[in-house]
Order: sequence, then structure tokens, then C-alpha cells
Amino acid sequence: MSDLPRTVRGRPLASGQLAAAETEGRLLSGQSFSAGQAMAWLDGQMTAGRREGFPGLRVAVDMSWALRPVTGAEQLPDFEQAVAAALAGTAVSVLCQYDRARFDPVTLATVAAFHTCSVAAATYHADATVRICRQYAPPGIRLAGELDYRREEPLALALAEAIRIGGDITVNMAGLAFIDGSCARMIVDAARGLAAPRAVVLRCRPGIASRFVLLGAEDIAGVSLVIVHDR
Amino acid sequence: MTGDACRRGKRPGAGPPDGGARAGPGGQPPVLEQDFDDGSLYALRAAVAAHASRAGLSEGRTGDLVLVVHELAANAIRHGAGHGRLRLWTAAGAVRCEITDDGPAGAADPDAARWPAEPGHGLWLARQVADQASLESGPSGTVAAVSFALGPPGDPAPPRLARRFQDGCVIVTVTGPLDLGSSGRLTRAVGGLARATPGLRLVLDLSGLTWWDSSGLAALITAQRQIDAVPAARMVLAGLPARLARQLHDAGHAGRFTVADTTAGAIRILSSA
Repeated sequence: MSDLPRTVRGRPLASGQLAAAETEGRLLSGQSFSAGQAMAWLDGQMTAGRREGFPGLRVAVDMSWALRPVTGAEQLPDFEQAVAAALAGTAVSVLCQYDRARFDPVTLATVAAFHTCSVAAATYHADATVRICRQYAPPGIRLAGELDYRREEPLALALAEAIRIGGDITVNMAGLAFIDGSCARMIVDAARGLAAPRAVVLRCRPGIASRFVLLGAEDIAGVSLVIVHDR
Repeated sequence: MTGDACRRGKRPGAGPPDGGARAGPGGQPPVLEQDFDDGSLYALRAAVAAHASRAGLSEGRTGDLVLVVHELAANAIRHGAGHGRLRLWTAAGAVRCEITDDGPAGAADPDAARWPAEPGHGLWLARQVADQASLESGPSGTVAAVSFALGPPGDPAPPRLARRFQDGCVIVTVTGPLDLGSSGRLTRAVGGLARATPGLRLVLDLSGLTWWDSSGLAALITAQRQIDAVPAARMVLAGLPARLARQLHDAGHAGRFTVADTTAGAIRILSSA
């Protein structure tokens, strides 16, 4: 947070400039979602912001509640459409955050269509067989699909950028079905080149994990293998 | 399956077979014959996986075969002609794959030595998981072959782990295959013993081990690491079948382990320490 301007660092919570709220009573009431209630809450926030003299409003919503057993989740597209209509011509923006590791691709594709703009993690390569992108939390990269030497270049770039950012790195391979020797060696070499105390976590399915064990990944200080059984 | 590790050699005169259907083991034509180049390795992997799985190769060994074939094909693409042909047979109790490479354009004497065999590369990998692997090159190209034995027909014996105590040692007996399905149980069992037993002296009796895949081999390495992490804990591998011992050695992992021919021999080693 140290690079934020001082005015924002002051007392934004006390001045009402920044507020954090849970979904209950706003987007949800108990176990149910209603587009009407959620829109009423957003309208109230927009009105209150204008009344208090703020020039605009930015709302960031973690959408993970939609993964819980909630009735009315099918109204999500209606809500997204109503939000898009209500925001037109205003100084209000709403950022809906969907965790790619938790939402299925069909839902993501459906809701992306209702947004005027969609932002995905920096993608180094994506085609029908493989996707290489940055992962924000925990910091690192995410690999999915089938990865072989033909994608060494974007893999090298992704690893280099993750290393430059600093701190511990997670190479999330939970969605990886195949990795060849070239790419596995590249990941092991990158991990080996990282100076202590920085750590590297290799998250992968059992069949992929054994490749890294045989390459001696666990012999490298700071490297750990975390085995996942699904994505 | 004799599993006589890897052979490397030059075939005087004869190059790789021509494009016609080539008879394999038992004289049968291949069940799969597929050309590949830089853009079609995904399809090659999918086809090999489908045929191996249908022939009855286990999930873990199918994954190993697919990786080995990929690496050998990638060698042909990157260090050879740039393209090649795969032939696959499912006969004589094994899945056998041959990857032929017409040799680099314009080169008179392609040599198998061009093919990298360092850790992580195709041949190194083939040595630790395939039952047979060979590489031959002649004036007009290179043929790499790998063979993975299929289990006996019918239901295979399920992998079993059993534990007993003898002469101050814990004896863990592994029977059947050590594979994707059973390797997790072994590492959990050894990890639990190492943490719960100060000064653990463990004999891993592998005389009933039928085969492993890369997950099983990795499980042995992880088990040894778990032992090494606990002061004064020791582990000896007993009775490892000769074929598997040779794979362990060829892959360069033998130095990690203390081995004994029999459980009694392993107990002697642990007792004298």
C-alpha cells in the first residue's frame, strides 16, 4: 500500500470514502439472491454517494458467494444486465471478481458477456490446448492443458516475470494434464535459480508431481510439491 | 519380458524401414501408424494414450508411455528430420512403439549419439519406466523403440501394503504394482512411521513388487526423503527384483538408497548401524 497517495492512506474508512461490507443484507438475504434486492442496494449506494458529495463510486464485488448453495443464482445474468443499464452515463463503476480457479469456464463465459469490459490475468499464451497466465493469489503463474516444448518461450517469459516480482512463487499446475521434459526442466531450473529465502510451491496432480520428483525438484532447498486431486 | 535396459548402437547398412506397413512382434501389422511433425504432437499423444489404455495398460503406465513417445518424437523433430512416423503394436503381452526418423535433411550419417540422454530427456525417462528401450541409427535414419509389458489377462492382483515388526525393525511389505493408485499410500505410511517412531529402522520388502510406473518410483524417492528428514531414522530396500534394480540404477537414482538382497540382510545392515 506504500505507493498509494497520502490522501487515500489517511482515514478513508473514517471519512466514509472507503467501506467494506459483507454480502449478507446487500446482495443476499440468508440463502437467497434476488436481482431486485441487489439492485436496490446498489441504487442506495449511488444515491448516498451523490448526497455526500463524492464525484463517483467504485464498487468491487467478490462473486464467490454464487458458488455457495444459494437460491436465485440464476438471476445473476439479470442482475448483471440491470447493473450495466444503471451505470450507463454515470461516474460509477462496478468490478465483479470471479475466481477463475473456482468458477467453471461456462459460467465465466456467460457472465463475461454482460460486462462492458472484462479483465483477465496477464496471459502469456492461450490456445485450444494450453494456457499460460499469471496468478495473483498466491502470486505466481498458472498452467493448464497440455504443455510442451513448443510453448517454451511464453513459459520462460511467465517464469521470468514471476521471479522479478519478488517473494514466494506458486506454479499452479492443478489444471495441467501433460507436461514434457523440456518444460518441466525449465520450471525446475527456474526454481533452482531462486535465491533463499524465496520459496517455490509446485501445485500439481499426482501424475505430474512424479515428473518433478524424478527430476530432483524436492532436492532443491525452498521447493515444495503440493499434490492436488482436482482443480 | 527380460527388460535388458537400453541398447544403443548403429545398424550397419539398413536404414529405418520404408513407409509400408511393417510387421512387428509376431508378424502382425501395427494397430496404429501415424506420421507426426511439429504441429501434430498433441494428436500423436492422444492416439497413443487411447490405444495403450484400450490394450489394458494402467493409467500411470499409459501416462509414462505417452511421455516417452512424446520425448522420442520431439527428438526426431528437433534434432532429426523434423518429422517422423510412429508405429504401435499391442501384441505379445506388451504395447510396443517405434518412432522412426528419416534423419536430418542433408546429413549423411545420423548418429544416435545426437539424441540427448541427460536427465529429463526421452531416453533417460524410457530407461526408468519402460520394460525395453532401444535406439538404433543407420545411414538413413534412426529407430527408437520402447516396450511396456501388459499385465496377465484378467483382474490384476491389487497392490498391498503390510506391516510387521521383527528384531527391532519395522518391515513394510509391498506386493503387486507400485503405481499411480498405490504410491500415495506408501509415502503416507512411511511418513507416518518416520514421524511416530524415534530412530525408526525400516525395511521396505519389495520382493513381491511386480512393476512400477513413474509415480511408484517417485514414491520410493519421496519415502527416502521423509526418512532422511528425521534424525537417526534409516531405511533399507530389500529384495528389489533385478529388472527394477537395473532401472533404478540406469536412471541414476540408486545412490539415494541402501539396498539388501533379502529382508534378513536388510535387518543385519540396520542392526549393525
